Amino acid sequence: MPSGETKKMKMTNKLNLSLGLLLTMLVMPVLADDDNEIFLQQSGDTLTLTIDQVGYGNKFGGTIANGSIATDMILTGTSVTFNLDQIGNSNQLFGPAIFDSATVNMVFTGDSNIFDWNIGDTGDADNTNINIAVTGDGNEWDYDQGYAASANYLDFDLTLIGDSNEFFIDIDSDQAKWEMEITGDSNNIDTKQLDASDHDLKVVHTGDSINMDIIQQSGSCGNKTCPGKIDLQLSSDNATVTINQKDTSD
Amino acid sequence: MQQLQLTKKILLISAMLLSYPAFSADTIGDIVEQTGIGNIIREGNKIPSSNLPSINLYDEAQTGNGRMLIEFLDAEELALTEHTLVFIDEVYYDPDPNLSKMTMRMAMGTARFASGKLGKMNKANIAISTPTANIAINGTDFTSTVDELGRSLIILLPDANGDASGSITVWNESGTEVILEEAYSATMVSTMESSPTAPVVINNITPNLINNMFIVSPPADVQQVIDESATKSDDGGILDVDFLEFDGLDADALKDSEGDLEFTELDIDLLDVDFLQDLLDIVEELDRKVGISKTGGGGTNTYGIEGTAIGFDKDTQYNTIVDTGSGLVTFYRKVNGTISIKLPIDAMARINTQTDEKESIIEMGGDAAINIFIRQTN
Repeated sequence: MPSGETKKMKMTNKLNLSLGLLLTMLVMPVLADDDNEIFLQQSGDTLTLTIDQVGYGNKFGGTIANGSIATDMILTGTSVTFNLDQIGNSNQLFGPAIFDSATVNMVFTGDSNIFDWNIGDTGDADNTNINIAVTGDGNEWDYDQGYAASANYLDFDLTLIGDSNEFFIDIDSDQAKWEMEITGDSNNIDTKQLDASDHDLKVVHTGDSINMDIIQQSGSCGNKTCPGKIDLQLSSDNATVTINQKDTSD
Repeated sequence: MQQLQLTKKILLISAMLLSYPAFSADTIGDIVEQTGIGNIIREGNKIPSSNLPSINLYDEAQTGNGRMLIEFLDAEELALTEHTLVFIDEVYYDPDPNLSKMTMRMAMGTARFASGKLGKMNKANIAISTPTANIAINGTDFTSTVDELGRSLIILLPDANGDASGSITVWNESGTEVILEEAYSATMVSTMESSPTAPVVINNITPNLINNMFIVSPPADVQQVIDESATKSDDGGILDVDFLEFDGLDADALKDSEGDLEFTELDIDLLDVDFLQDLLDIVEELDRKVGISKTGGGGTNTYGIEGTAIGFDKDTQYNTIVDTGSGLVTFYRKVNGTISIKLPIDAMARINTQTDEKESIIEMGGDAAINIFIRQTN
């Protein structure tokens, strides 16, 4: 009877093998007519998942229907390390993730990509360290941290280089350190730090025609007891920034 | 056989002679005068300055209740008054003066540095620093006074003719450079990030007083007078001069340049905000819009910031910091929540801040290309 650890290792090995096969397909896009797809449903602790996805129209999710991702990938576990490099245009990444003490490093290079990710969809997602670098134009991002569950002590760094990107980022996490550095024109950034204490947001933006909406909401704790902090550095010839720092929603 | 042994002896002696400079290669100067208590700290060990040890690279020269005069190989002189500490970081003499180099840090107290006269070192290669300032010199004699907070007062001294002994450039991480070119001109630096003050000439210091301050060992006849008058008090003798109560600091060197003092992040008083602003005042001043300009030493410098004062403004509750070094203006407000906005000095921006109590509008640079709306509500 194999031990739990051995089981876990076997499971991890199987996953790596499957991913290896998939990746082998992915790096040969000229041989395949269809877009490359990764469907992930993974549950387990101490996972280290490294994926390089190169090509056009790649998809990373749960299931696909009519050429688009229909359901999200599922990634559940603690002490997860997730490294993803996606290079190419019109790629998609959809998924919920539920993990405590996770480190996520993502590099996206390309245009017109779509990213929709919920971390803490149905369970805790504490102590996550998210580092995302995006280079490209016309990307659409929808990122939710602490979507439906506790997600404290987030450390989130986003570096965006490109034009005409749309980013919607909601963070519902106590003591979250949220930093973004944006270089480019005509980007639209909406971010919310919702009902939690010790919000800390830093934005460094260089570029023209940015439209940025920031909501920092301390919830029942109140602004006086749990004041948030916003540090905004702008270098722009044309920018509109709206900051709403308040106790509760309107 | 005897000839062979003689040859061996000659070779041995030659080797010893040749190796001698290697042992003394680190010697870069000497203590030529000293009084009272002082030490050279070398590799953690204290060597009393009364032993007149040679000065080596990486030595620390430290005085307690005493003074010390060090002369380097190029005849540069470093005089330390009481309770002074200087780190000798790098001194290198090359046959080519352009390749020679000297780096020192004045860490505490009052020290006087006079550049060398023997031409072994290009003056441009001498770099001296304090905890808050860097100093580049050009054929110069100057003093630096550093207090326990690291604040530095740097004074250019005259030459034998009473003219400026050269020039010194003082700068730090603020990006601002100040050049002292007149005798007794001085600049004060508070922190590494704040700009050195504009040069001011200290008028109430005489050359004799300056010289006396840095006399380490008076001539014998003078010493005798000092000894005789030691039992008297307040007779104007040299021992009555309290060098730590440097007269130069009694004169408010910054008096004429207060307008130039920078408002930095360290000046922000987080307790000075008004959490309960008077609503009647708010109604009265709702349309308030005040033009602010800042007068600098060299004329009027207008940053074009309107609607709030540079420094802390009790109405808007913003701390406004203009940092010419980084080229940024920071608007910092911490009442219920913290907002910190950094914009280039030449930005054209409008910041509309609405709170439960009032609304304020800050504008800079004319027509607003950057619009920032802040709503802070409970």
